Amino acid sequence: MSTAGYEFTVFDRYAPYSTAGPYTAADYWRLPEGEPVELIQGRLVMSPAPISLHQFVVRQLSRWLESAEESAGGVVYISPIDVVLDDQNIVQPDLIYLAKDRLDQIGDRIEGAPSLVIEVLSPSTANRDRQQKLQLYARHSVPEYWMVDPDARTLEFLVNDEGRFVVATPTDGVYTSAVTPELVVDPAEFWAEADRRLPRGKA
Amino acid sequence: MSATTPEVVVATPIVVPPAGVGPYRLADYLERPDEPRVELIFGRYHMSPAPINLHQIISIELSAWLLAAAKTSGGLGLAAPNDVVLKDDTVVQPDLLYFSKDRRPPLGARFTTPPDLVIEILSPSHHTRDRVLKLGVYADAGVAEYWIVDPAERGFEFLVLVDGKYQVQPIKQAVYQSPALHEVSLDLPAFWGEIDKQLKTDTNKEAP
Repeated sequence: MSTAGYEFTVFDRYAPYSTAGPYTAADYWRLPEGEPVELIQGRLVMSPAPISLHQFVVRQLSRWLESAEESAGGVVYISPIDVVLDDQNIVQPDLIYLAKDRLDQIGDRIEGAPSLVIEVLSPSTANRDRQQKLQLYARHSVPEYWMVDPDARTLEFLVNDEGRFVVATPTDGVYTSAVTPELVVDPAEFWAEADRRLPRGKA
Repeated sequence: MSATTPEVVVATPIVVPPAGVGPYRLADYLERPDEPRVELIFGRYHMSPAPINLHQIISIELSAWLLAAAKTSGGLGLAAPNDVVLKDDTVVQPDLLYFSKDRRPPLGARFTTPPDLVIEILSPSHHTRDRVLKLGVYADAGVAEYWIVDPAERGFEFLVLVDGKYQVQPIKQAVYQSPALHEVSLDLPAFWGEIDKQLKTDTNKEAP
C-alpha cells in the first residue's frame, strides 16, 4: 500500500478557511499506517517530522499532565493518534487529554472532540495550528485548545465559547481550566523547567 | 538588580504578567527622556530594540490602509510612537491604533482613552509581550479589537473583546470585516500580495 495516487496539499499561508477537498475518512483509512498525514477539510495535509525542540516540549507537557491523569482519572495521548472529528476531518494533535467522562470515546482511534487539544507550534506548522486547526477545533466543540510556542516561550489557553475560542489568561501566574479543573499549569515554571532540562545542542 | 539601577526589562520573555506590579508610575514615565523609547507595563519599563525592516514594511502598508479607512470614516488612525495611558502603571505605544469618529479623543501630548482598535506587529523578541502581557492589558483596558500580525507566518489574528475577554475571530473570507467597526475591513490576500511585491524588489531578501 502506498501513498501514490493521493494528492497532498499545504495550506496557503494567508488563505481564509478553505473549501472542502475531495477526500473523506474512507480514503484516509486506506493510507498506510504511520503516515504523518491529517485530513483537514477533506484535504490530505502532510507534516515533516517535528524538530527536536518540539518533541522535547511535547514530552514535558505529557509529564506535566500526568498529575491530571492521576488525580482525576483522565488520560493523555501523544501524537501520532487519530482523532476523528467528522468524515472530512481526522487530525493528529500533538497531545490530547480526555477527562473521565470522555473515556468512552476511546477506541482504536479517538472518536469526537477530546477535552483538551494541545498543539506545539513549529515553524512549518504554526500557521496551520493558529488558523486552520484553530477554526476546526472551535467548530468541532473542542472545549479547550492550548497553543504552545517553544521559540517564544508562550502557552496560549483558548476556551471554547459556543464555537469560538476565547483567550483565557492565568490568574496570579497559574492557569486553571474552568471546564476541566484538573488541568493546571504555571507557565513560568513550565518554561523554567524546560530551560533547565533542555539539552544544549547546536540550536 | 540593585536598587540604584533603573529597572528596564529589555526584550526578556515575560511568561506571565508579573505577580507584583513594578515600582514605576505615570509620573516617573513622564520624567523620562524621549530616548530610549520605553513602554510602561504594570509598573515596569519595557524597551524594544529597533524593529526589523519587514516589521516596518508591514507597518507602513497598514498605516496607508488605516489612514484611508480613517479619512473615510472621520476616525483617527496613527502609527507608533504614540503614548496611550491605560492606567497609572501602564503606558503603551501600540504599532498602530485607531479611534472611531464617535470616540475621537482630543489631540494633545498623549491619549488617555483606549483606542477602538490596536494592532501589534510581532517581532522575534516580542512574541510574549504582545501575545500574553499586552493582550491582558488591552482586554482590561477595554480595547474593543486587537489584531496581532505575525510577519513570519503571514498571519493576522483578529481578537474581539466580548465580556472583557478576547474572542478569536474565524477567518472565513478573504476580506476580514470588523464586527463592531463597519469602516474597518481588510483584504488579506491583497494585503500580503502588496507586502510580497515590496519584498521582491529587495534583492537581498529571499522572496517567501
